[in-house]
Amino acid sequence: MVYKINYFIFTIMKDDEFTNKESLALIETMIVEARGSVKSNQFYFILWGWVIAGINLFVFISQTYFDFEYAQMAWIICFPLGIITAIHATRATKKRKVKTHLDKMFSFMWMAYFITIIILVGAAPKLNFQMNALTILITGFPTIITGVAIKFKPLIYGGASFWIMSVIAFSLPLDQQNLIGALAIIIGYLIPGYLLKRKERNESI
Amino acid sequence: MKAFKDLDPLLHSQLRLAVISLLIGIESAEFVFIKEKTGATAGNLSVQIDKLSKAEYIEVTKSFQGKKPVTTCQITPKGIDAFEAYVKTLKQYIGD
Repeated sequence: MVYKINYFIFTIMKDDEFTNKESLALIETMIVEARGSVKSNQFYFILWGWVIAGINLFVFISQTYFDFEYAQMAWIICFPLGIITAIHATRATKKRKVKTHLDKMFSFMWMAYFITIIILVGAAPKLNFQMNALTILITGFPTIITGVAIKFKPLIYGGASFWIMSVIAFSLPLDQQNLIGALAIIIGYLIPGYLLKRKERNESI
Repeated sequence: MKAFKDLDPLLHSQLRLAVISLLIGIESAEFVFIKEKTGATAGNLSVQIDKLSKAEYIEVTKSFQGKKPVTTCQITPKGIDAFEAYVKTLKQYIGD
């Protein structure tokens, strides 16, 4: 792509003045190039997909088969991991040669999502401890927006699946909601995350 | 070829227009990124970036990543207005 653009620029640079059509073509080419600079951050979908699916399954198995009363404590791991993710993402953005408006929007959106989850966890007793169903419901929002912004359908469908899964989770007892939580994150994060990884790998070849 | 007398002469230059068109769609970009995308030489690009900066169309920030100096460019509101006016004029020519 770069070689094509170089050729394009060198071609039009032969003339002292370039025509209106060449001028528009140059603007269009550069805007397309800039648009292609948005990073999807599939790494975070895969990381959090495995973490949330793992904790959900751990809690479900511990409570159902081993009657482990403190199984829910496993969720605590999400808070330091959330902070580490935020620091890692900020550092990675600083190192990048280009920052897009979407990158900035993504940072604020996921930060807002994380804060929303923290508030929800604090209000858990008042919410009948329906944390799994509520988290699944809220996760649909930033996921679908990210999917639309980077024009990646599996992420849009994944985001929508969170809403369907939350409706199912609300109708189930608390202990069974963990299974739906694991299923929701596999469909909503892990599958789109790996598809995105494959797409980016293919595009970089 | 139609003369472009009314077009902003600062933007009606291939490399300067390429730089502004690239920056219009992003938050900010490092010098090396702009160099890679435009295919320009470092010397020529420096000169054109300096012209855009003096006209306050872009803001140039120099910083360090470790020991490595980094030049970052960002379009200013004045630059956005100039680019929009340029595109508007261009559209009028095409519409003729």
